[in-house]
Amino acid sequence: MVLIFEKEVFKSMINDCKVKKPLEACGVIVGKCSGDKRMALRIYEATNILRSPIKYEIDPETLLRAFKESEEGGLKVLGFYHSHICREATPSPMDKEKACYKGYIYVIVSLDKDGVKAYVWDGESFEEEPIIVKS
Amino acid sequence: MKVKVKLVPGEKEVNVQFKKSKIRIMDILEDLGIDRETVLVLVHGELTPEEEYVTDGDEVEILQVISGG
Repeated sequence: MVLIFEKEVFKSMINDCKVKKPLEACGVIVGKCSGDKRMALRIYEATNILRSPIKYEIDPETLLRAFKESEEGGLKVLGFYHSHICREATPSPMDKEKACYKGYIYVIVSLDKDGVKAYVWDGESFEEEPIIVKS
Repeated sequence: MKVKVKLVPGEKEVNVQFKKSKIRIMDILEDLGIDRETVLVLVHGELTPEEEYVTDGDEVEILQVISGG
C-alpha cells in the first residue's frame, strides 16, 4: 500500500513535531482506505504524557476522541505519528516493543536527519510503506 | 455476573463471567491477563478508572495505549 497525505495535513504534522521539540511529539492519523491507498485526511495532535525527548505515549483523551470522531465521521484511524529527536526516522527498539496495533501505520518524523517515513506493523515487525504528499 | 468486553485493536469481543457479584475493572483486566499500564478502559464509551465497579451487562472496551520511543 501507499500512504497519501493531503499537503496541509502533512505540514501540520511536521509543524507539530517542530513546535514540540525538544520533546517527542505524537498524534493520531485519520483518513480512509481506497484500494491500495491510505488517504491521510486529518491528524490529531496529542500530548506526549511521558514528556520525554526519547519516548512517547499518546494522551488518552486525544486517542479516544480520534477513534470516536473518525468513526462518527465515516473515517477511520489509520495510525499514529511520533517524532525522533536527533535520530533517524527508523523504528527504535522501544517502538518495536510497544507496537501493538497490527495493520496500522506508524509514521516517524526525524526533523534532524532523514525526514519522514511510514511503517506498517504486521504483528511482529515493521514494514516500510511509501509516502506521497499531494501538491 | 457477565460483562461484554471489546478489545482494541483487533475488535475482538469476549464475554467475561464472574461468580462474585461485585467486580472491578482491575478484576476484568487480571482475568484477561492484561497489564493495566498498557491499556485504557471505557465503560459505555466513557474513560473509567480501574478501581471502578462494573455492573451486570455492562459493555467494556479495552484500548491499547500508543507508545514507543
